[in-house]
Amino acid sequence: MTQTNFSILTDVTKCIGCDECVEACQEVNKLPPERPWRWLNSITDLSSARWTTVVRLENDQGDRFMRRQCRHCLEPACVEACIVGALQKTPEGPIIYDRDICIGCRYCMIACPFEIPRYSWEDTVPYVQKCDFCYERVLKEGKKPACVEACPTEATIFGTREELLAEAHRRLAAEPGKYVQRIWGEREVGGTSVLYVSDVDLNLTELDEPLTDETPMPQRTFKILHHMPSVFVEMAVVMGGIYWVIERREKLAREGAEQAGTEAEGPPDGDGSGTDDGPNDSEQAKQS
Amino acid sequence: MTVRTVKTLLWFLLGAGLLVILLRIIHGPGSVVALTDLLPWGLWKGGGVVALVPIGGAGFTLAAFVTIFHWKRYRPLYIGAVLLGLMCYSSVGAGLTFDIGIWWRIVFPIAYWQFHSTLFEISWCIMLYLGVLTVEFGHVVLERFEFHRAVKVLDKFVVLFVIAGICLSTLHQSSLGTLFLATPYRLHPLWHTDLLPFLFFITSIGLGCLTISWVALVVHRLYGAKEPMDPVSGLGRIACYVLGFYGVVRLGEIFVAGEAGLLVAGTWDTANFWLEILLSVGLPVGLLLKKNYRESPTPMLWISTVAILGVSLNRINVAGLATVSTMNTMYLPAWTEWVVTLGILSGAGLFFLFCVERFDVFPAINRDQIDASYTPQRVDRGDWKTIFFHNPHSEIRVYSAALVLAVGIALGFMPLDAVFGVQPEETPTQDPRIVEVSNSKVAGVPGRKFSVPLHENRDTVDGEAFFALMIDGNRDGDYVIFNHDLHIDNQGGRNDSCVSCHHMQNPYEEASECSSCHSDMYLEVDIFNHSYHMEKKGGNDGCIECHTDPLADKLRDNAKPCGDCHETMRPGGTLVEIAEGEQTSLAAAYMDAMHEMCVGCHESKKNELEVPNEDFDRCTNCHRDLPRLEDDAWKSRL
Repeated sequence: MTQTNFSILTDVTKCIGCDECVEACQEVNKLPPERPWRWLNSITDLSSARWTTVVRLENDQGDRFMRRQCRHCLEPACVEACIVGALQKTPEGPIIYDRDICIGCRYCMIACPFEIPRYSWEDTVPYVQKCDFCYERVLKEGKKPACVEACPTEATIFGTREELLAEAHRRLAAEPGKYVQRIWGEREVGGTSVLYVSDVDLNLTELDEPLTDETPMPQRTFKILHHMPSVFVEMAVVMGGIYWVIERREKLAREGAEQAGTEAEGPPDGDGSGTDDGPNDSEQAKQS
Repeated sequence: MTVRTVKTLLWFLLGAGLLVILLRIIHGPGSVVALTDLLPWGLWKGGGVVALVPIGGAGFTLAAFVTIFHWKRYRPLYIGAVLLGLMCYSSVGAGLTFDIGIWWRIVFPIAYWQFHSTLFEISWCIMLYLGVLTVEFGHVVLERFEFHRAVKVLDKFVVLFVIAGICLSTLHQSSLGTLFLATPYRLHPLWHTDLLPFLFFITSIGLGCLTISWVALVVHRLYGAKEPMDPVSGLGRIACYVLGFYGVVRLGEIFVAGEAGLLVAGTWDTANFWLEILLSVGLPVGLLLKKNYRESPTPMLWISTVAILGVSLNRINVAGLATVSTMNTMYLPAWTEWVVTLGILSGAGLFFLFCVERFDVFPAINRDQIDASYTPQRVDRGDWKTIFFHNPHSEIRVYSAALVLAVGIALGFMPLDAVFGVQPEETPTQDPRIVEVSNSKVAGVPGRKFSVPLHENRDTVDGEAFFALMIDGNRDGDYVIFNHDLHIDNQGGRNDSCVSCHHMQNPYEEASECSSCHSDMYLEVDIFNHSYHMEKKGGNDGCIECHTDPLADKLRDNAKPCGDCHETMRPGGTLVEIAEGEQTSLAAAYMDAMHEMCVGCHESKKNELEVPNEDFDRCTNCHRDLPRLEDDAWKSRL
């Protein structure tokens, strides 16, 4: 775990749905104008022109607004999935994208548990599009992320993860009747850098089922993948062993047949008499 | 069907596929696929890449049977299986190259290593395995051209290559399943299981047996040779056991995971699942159990066709189709996606037939045999005029015609996006409608409310009615009531005002967005919130705090001035001047405040550039919600 982990805390009770964060993000990252593309359900979906968006949550006690953006997971699925390492987790926490080596396989898009990465399908040379936490801006210029800076109500604030978790806990404790006693992003898929507190239940994904699983995503594939070198070796040994045994047996049989000369009654086992069925052969091979 | 008909058909598909690839290179993948951000992998990746890998599994399966296990009965199909593998993996390479966003970066995994990526492992395995297959098939090529010494050397090492091939195949066939362990929430639970790598591996063995059977049967029939039913029936039996085992594990896992309810859920996914199981397990295993089906060519051809479709459907489902319902999205592959998949396969098929005709791929199909049934076109020595116009039997002429025709027809049906580049959807807004609007005070609600009188009960509307435009600029159902006349007046009258909104010439717009002047749309609220003040002052008991004279009517005019409590409301040095009389009234409505109190002054002070509080013009300081017209009933009456 790094010492400083950039984080964002969004307080749904304070968000007024004004879209200032969206506009600031588009301005700072020089995103293209929003167009009604074929692949968008709504122009306000996350897209190559919208790295963060504000989702209206219909609610009995009045509508709420929740900002969607890259959650910059502590153990990111996209970084694990990327075939060339175009997505990297920086020591400070943000997950950044190197467009110079991305090949466009889009595995990050299906690996992300929050359905965040988008693709600029409209371009001849398309790239993956997602929030990069204004990494350069925060690190080099010492500013806050554009969205945080633009927020008129301080619904979304910037800090280290430890600070913001403490602040979130403080808010939950200060007004226990108001808030749902849960910090979204604290533990989901191993924890994310983007945290939410709210007075209504949140669903961080675009699926019907809210994400509650705390298993980090990378473990799901790497638990199998890290066996692969040994599988390779084991398979090679098994195949080589079977080959050696059968080959040796056939050689012995051939020699035996030669010695027996004209006395030979018939072809020995495993000498490929066409009617012999495969599986029997292999069982005999293993026995011998 | 004759060889020539088949080849013509393949050339036709290849032509259409090549056109799609060309357009994809010119305009990008978005122009020819129906994929979305929520469904970024579809038919092209699922059918043209992921499904072809188990079909090519014939290569390592037969290599293991023949070379390692010494099951000599299958030797007649061995080279065919290697060639089939070579063709499948080449198609995978070609398909993948043009499926990924930046096609010339297909080689990047060679340079940029990322050991934690399943895709990285798969790509390396496939690259290396392509090399192994080339060496295995190279044996035949070297024999054909009589490089005896090279063949001898190769014979010594071929076992090592075969073992390497088997190991690489084990890795990438199973890792293809590992790939989708990363999508536990997207993939429907009937498909998602931790056993995916294992299931993918064993199906590739079972299907490998049947794909080489299918290819052998088709090719032998095509060239009029006797089908090699002995190895084919043996493979059928193995496939029956393996696919049967797969079916048991697959269904067993679903029961063990407690997802059995989904099997009878009656959803689209359940139907899809049972269709897949029927095609990949039910029909093949059931029919292959019968010895007389296994040993006769036509049933075997059908059984293997069904199994190939079934297992391919499984791969397509896992790669995308079975995520459609959980993602609440819609995906219908564009016909261009089908064509590119079929086109690449057709190219591979043509090369396969080319090899069958020229090398000893299947022992039963030798050159004499081919010449008797069909004479393949040797290199034509004539000039191009002879080839194309004077030789009525020229195959090149027929195939070229098929290719050109395919390109022409495909171009004719090509979606406009593919030809001219991706364009935004045409989603015309409904024209702004002129409606009669009233600005009125509604009992019980603070502030003034804009309402569409036709929508309201006319009796409750007391305000002044005027005509306005209802605009839904971003098509989200939220309307802005736009008083066109007022804007004309504010912008300088009928003659001079038009240009300030309609001729700013920003890209893609006929009229300037409201937000180019207003940083937010105006809202139906007062700057003074009566309910809020009531609550703070203790409900009805608090009236007296502002309406200080208990005997007088509770009116604006005799209420306490805002400044008496909010002493810091106007910062020192403010330029806003308020006349003595106005001090006693409550705050003006926000619109009135901005337009009557601020705008005039700001305009006159424009050149001095002295703005006391630059954030004061941010509507969002106060506005917490957007107006929304929920009820559509009024629309019909307009």
